Amino acid sequence: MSRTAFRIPAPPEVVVAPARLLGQVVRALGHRFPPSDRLFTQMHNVGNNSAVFISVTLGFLGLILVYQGCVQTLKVLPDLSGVGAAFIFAMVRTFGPTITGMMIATRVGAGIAAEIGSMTVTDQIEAMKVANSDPVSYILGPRFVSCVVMTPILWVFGTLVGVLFGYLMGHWRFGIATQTFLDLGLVSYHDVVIGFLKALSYGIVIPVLAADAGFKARGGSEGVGWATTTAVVNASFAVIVLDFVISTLSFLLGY
Amino acid sequence: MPGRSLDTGPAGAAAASRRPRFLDAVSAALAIAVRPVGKGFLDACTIVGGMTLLQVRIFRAMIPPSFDYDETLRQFEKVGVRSLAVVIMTSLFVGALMLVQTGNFVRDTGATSMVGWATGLTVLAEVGPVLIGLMFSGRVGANNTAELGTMTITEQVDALRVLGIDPVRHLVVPRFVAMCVMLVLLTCIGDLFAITGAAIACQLIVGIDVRVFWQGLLEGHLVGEFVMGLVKGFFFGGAISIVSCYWGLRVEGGAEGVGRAVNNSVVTSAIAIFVVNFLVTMLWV
Amino acid sequence: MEAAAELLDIRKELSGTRVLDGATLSLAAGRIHALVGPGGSGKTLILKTLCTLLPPDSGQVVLFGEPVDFLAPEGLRRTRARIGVQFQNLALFDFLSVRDNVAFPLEADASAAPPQDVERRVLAILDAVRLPGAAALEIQSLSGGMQRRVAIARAAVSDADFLVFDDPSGGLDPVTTSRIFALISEIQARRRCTVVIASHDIDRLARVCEDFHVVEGGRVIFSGTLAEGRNHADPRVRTFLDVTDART
Ligand SMILES: Nc1ncnc2c1ncn2[C@@H]1O[C@H](COP(=O)(O)OP(=O)(O)OP(=O)(O)O)[C@@H](O)[C@H]1O
Ligand SMILES: [Mg+2]
Repeated sequence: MSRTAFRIPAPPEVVVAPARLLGQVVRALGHRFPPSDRLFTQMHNVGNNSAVFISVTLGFLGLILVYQGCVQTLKVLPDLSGVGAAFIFAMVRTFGPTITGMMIATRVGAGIAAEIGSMTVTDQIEAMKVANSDPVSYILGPRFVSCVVMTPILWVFGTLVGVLFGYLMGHWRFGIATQTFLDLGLVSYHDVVIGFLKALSYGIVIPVLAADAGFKARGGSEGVGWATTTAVVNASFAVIVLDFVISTLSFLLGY
Repeated sequence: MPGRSLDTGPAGAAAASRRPRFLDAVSAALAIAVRPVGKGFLDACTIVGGMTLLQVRIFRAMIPPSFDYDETLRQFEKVGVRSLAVVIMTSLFVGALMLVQTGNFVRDTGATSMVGWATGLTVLAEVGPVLIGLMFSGRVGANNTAELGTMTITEQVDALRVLGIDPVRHLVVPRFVAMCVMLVLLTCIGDLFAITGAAIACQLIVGIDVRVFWQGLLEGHLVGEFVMGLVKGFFFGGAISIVSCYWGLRVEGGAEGVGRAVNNSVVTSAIAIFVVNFLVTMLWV
Repeated sequence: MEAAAELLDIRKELSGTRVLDGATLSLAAGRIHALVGPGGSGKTLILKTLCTLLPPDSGQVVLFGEPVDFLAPEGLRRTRARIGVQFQNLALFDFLSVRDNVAFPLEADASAAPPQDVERRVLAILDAVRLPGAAALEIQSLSGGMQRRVAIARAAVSDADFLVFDDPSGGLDPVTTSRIFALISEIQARRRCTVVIASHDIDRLARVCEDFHVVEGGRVIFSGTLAEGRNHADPRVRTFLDVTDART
């Protein structure tokens, strides 16, 4: 009996702890929403301060995807008219959200983990607890809301920048006409929804994983280094896995 | 400003008081708009300059080779062991992911023979090396910055200098060599697992026979793309090691200083990866 | 005399090492207690257990006559409202000004003080620690001694019955150290609260503290007056209380 019985294995700690933290922060936000001044500071940090970084990375990505696309297409066909549409489709649905998500995991995730980690190792988190202030609500609350709001916005921004640079490459290097390149024919309504869902899920997961690593920091500066590293790796990996899960589900559902 | 209005007489003072108000408004507006840009530009110059200098010092230590060989071997092991698992996991998912994306296309067009070639191309040439590089930067580069940063703020680096040991030869070059070589090998392994992941996804998720996938992949003649991916791995490794050492050796302050340095390190590495990726592809293809 | 805080046979493991090994301690209410012991003996961990920040693996923490239940948030909240702590590494919030740091315990817990009282109390306690006019400054712009006094002000700003000072004089010059100890005993004399101070400065502790507790290897090996300790049978207690005194 016991050998044949199907037992669900206990989920590993790396999943359980962030899930619990997510529950805590959502409950804390329902209880008390962060005041707007602290929220705007964080939104500015997550959104505006990431804009240049995301422009550079997504810009280079757009350039290179169109370059490769054109070069490879020219090997089989002399006609480049389909490249723009395929590129925009891939940007909206996959590369836009996922590379933006990876970049936010890198910049914002590392930032949150570094901040919370150094607060943890210098006992600031304990000082909050003993003053009856909830660190999850006070520290993570505004950062969580900012990430959830700003990641989809940065997805739109990053996708636009990527498409713009891709267009520049296609237009100037390969002479594709503007109307031919900026062809939204392959992008349908549900591609946009899927891109948005991906961005939103990254926005939820990144701050929670980063904060989890930060709260677990132990020791001095090694602890902070550990927390930051862990946050970047876990958050980036979570972005890839979520992208895979959402893409697979949408494929299987026929969207 | 006050100095100048003193020695222009009363008439000049009146003119001066009218003009500066306008000029002040303009310069204030300019300051708000331009100063961050200028400051960002100067900061970027400082960073790029510092990294170039570090690069030069690395080459000076390597030609003729005079650096710490034992430390290099230790770094090989550390870098490889530390990142193998995360590279394998990432690659499996990235391969599967790219296949599912291509699957969307194929379902619309019916060109099943394209699956192997298209996935192989994106994985081997572009997406594979870049994502493996990003994960490597998060795992090894960030760790390296944290480690060197801790050594810097606890004055261990200064202690080495006092003992007459050059930190570049002793600490930086071993990491540089280890990361360059290891990221090539890891990209190789990662490619293997990415193709495996793609094959699994092809059969199980998209429902195209694996043999069709293999055939498409083999007929694509992607050896050039594969080699280009490895070359990218080599340059990514170099870039990540220089960036992470640069930030690690510049840490100031205590624990927060280390956190900030790691944050800067991963951000700069990501930029470097995309720029290097662009340059290699443009020069290669 | 009744005890304000008690530890009963506390055991705790951190990353595989036993750091508290059957610590038992009783702090009589309304007095100033000294917690002494060699570096790494577990003073900080004992203090953290006392202020409900370190749940023990086994044993019981009794505060204000009631056993602490680490799983009951509401009970913990009420207990913590009566505790003020100065941490060994200060734990000042570097993103807040001096005024906001000191006001933090009052503003975080609405029941600690009515909002209209916050300003007056912050200024009063900053005066008491001799930092008038520092309210608007940033934490990073202060010297080490000033930061320590801000941390003491933050610990004492609410009407806590139980004040914990972990190394209030660490790294300070002798004059400032004397002032800080005088300040702590002044606060205690005014409020009649229970105070515990961990420090290596036996000489100065002797002037303000009635009760001494010696910590060694994660447990309390002696509790009593300084004179009793110097005549104690255990040589570790004797040497520790003597040697430090002889040095100063
Ligand atoms: N997070 C931890 N993990 C493992 N060991 C720890 C941890 N924190 C403290 N310790 C160990 O517990 C012991 C007691 O530490 P504690 O900080 O309480 O010493 P202390 O008496 O306050 O010393 P000092 O006088 O230097 O402040 C030390 O040996 C320390 O190494
Ligand atoms: Mg201590």
